[in-house]
Amino acid sequence: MHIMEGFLPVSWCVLWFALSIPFVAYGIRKLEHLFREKPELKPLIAIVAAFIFILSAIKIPSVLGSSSHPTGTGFAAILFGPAVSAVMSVIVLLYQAIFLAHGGLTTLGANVFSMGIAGPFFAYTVYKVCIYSKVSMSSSIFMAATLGDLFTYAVTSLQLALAFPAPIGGVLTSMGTFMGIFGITQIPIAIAEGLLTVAIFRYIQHARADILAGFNMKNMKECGAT
Amino acid sequence: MIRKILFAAAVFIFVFIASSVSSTMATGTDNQAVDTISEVTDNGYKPWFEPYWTPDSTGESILFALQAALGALVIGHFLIPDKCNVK
Repeated sequence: MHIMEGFLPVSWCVLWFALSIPFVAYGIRKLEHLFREKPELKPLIAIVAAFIFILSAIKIPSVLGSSSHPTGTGFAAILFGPAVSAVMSVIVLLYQAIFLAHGGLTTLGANVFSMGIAGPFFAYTVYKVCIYSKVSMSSSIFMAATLGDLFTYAVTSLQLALAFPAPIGGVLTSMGTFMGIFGITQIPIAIAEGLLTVAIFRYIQHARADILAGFNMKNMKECGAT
Repeated sequence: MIRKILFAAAVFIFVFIASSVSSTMATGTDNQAVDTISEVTDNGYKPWFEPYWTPDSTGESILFALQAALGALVIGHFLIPDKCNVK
């Protein structure tokens, strides 16, 4: 999902920065609020951030001779909302842009929007809908993390298609081409991310329930899980 | 303590290998997207900004592995119990 350095026209770079900055600013305020009002949640916040660090560093071969990354942002989004995952994505994407030439400083706004905001927002929504529909918590987390990962890559495709519409067929044709690149490769990776997210959540729940103690589990109890 | 460090080391090695294998055996989707941009624009698009440095593939694997190991240290710190604490 990294749009490479310089590979978005200036006007699109500006637009995606403009759309991302308010979310990141809100996320920083939300984190400050959490640190102040609920310091007992600090370990959980550190864990979801570390989860993003690990998963987004994994570059792994997938089908069709392509390689890609999981995002890890669904977990943070489910627990703390998409604004918080946006802040964490900024840190990871800055590191990768500066030291790895993966993504870029000019495309940071666009990449934060896809990985930190759009995908997590989708994951958060899927999670809420699943829980509301009495789907079990593990399945809800799996669906949210998997679909959130895929949605991130759909948004990257859209960002590229908008900036580079095909000469014949325009944005939609271009979108299809970019989805063809990202989509199939991402499906196994997204499923793996879903399974890992469920695994770490269940591990915390069973081995270290104290870390979740300060967390508002109200939404989670609705599905009957304990 | 040793288990936490071992966990971070294991994550480091896994990510290093995954990245190395990806670099030799597969094409990154990010780079395929760049190729597609060239096709769609008939080579008409030139990037207007370039990274000031790009690591080689081993350097890239090490930096990805470091990123993951950092995360693994934090996760290990909070989630991996010291042996004496196991019930």
